[in-house]
Amino acid sequence: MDEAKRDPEVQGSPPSAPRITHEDRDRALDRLAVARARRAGSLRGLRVFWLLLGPGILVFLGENDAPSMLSYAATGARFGIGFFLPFVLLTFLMGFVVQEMTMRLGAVTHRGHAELIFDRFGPFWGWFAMGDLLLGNFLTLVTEFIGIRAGLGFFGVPPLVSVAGSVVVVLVVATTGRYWTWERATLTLAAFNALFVPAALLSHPHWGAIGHAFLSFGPLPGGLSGSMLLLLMADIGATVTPWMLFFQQSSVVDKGLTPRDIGSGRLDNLIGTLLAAGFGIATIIATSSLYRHGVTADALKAAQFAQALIPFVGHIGATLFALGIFEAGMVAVITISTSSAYAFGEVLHTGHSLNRPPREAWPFYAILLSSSVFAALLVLIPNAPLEYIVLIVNVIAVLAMPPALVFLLLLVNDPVVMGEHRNGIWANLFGGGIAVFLIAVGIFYGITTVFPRLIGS
Amino acid sequence: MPRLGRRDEIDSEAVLELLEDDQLVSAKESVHLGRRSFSPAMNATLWGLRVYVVLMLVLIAVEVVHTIAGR
Repeated sequence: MDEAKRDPEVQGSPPSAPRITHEDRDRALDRLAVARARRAGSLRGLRVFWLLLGPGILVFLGENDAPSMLSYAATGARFGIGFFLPFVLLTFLMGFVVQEMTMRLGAVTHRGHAELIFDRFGPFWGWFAMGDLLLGNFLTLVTEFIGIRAGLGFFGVPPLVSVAGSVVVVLVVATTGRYWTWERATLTLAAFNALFVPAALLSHPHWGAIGHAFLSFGPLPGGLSGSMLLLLMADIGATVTPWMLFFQQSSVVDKGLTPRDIGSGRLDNLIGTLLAAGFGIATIIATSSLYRHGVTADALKAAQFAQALIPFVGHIGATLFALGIFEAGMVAVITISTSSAYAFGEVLHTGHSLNRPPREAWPFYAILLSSSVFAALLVLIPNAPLEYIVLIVNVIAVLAMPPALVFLLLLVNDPVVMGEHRNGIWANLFGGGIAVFLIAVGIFYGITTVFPRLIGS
Repeated sequence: MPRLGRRDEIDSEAVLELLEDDQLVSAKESVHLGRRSFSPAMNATLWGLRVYVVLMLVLIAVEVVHTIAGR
């Protein structure tokens, strides 16, 4: 239906009157703004895009989270500028293909990912998908708080204060009772992911070497090894993970996007892809100064990267780096805990919208908050093996992704679900190819774990 | 920049005009897509992927325990 015709200023009443909720009303207000912007004169396209952007940029900058940025940092410090720069760009292009399908699915069906899986494939497969999501989300949330604690620890903030303060931020942002406010607040926070760019520039990068890396996929110091394979998996896991599917589809639904908005949704995803890839590559460039100067980075943990960078990027660069790690964790805590809450709400058929006030959808907000609180508490336990969780969390994401991708491909090819908007041959080729690639990388990782002598240490 | 409207500026009729039919909460609560059945090949694929995930998670758990024990 033409939105301009649905604007109440243009057209009269509908034939029937079903129950209208607070959530419907807020979503309609967002659509009213879009309809008005579409009729506006100059800068119409920009106004419409400003209103429609959000889920795509958020999902990609949300996935530039603490473990991802630390994986990039470890990559730059151990391997310098070379193979991994173009490789990271490729992983983000994979992410774009996957998230485009997710966005389209949400805009066409107006239903969340968990809800569709349960509806179409039944609770048996649905709970498997939920299990993968919730295990991955919880472990990832733990690593986000590790990042928050480490980032603020650089400035001397005690762990209890940084972790508790972050939970309060999640609470404040989530309980505005309005998706739009939540989205814009989180986007504002996510903009600080750009802090890794000046940190990279302060490391005085060698532009010729960067250009050579993109053209040649090299060098790769040390060749194929166990540690290289682990970082490779972690870098893939930094761009394609199950929570991104659940989060973006639900937020597209909560925002109220329709099939008419698919073009803007693609642009939103593309901008998110390019921004996140740029910031991830900047992180590798920043820490490659450690590699260039022969600093052994194998034992470096979260905050120690910023500390180790001081001689090469100065106090300002290190400060930006530490703030970036904090921001990466903070935004991801908001988006990942929201994805858990959306999925639970959809499966349990309780209210699951940020447009609902907390008194109307308390289970949704309770899950959102409690998932953050439990992860935060784990980070505060003395001597917990947190560094291992950081190492494996992205690997687990890669391993859990193939089944999630197969469900996604089944849904976007389902004519009952997607109608005329179902996948074309190219989307299926790319999507299927990504699933096969992820399975192959996972199996290779498994074989080299069982038989480590097959490749170097 | 375009402004968002206020809640009191929009009544029920306007909501129905602005949202697609299946965007309404009441429609989503009452209408469910039917269950689809899988071919034997798809069932085998899904089971294969499930076994793959479980096996890999066990591998990771063993690797983590091994690494921690070796500290």
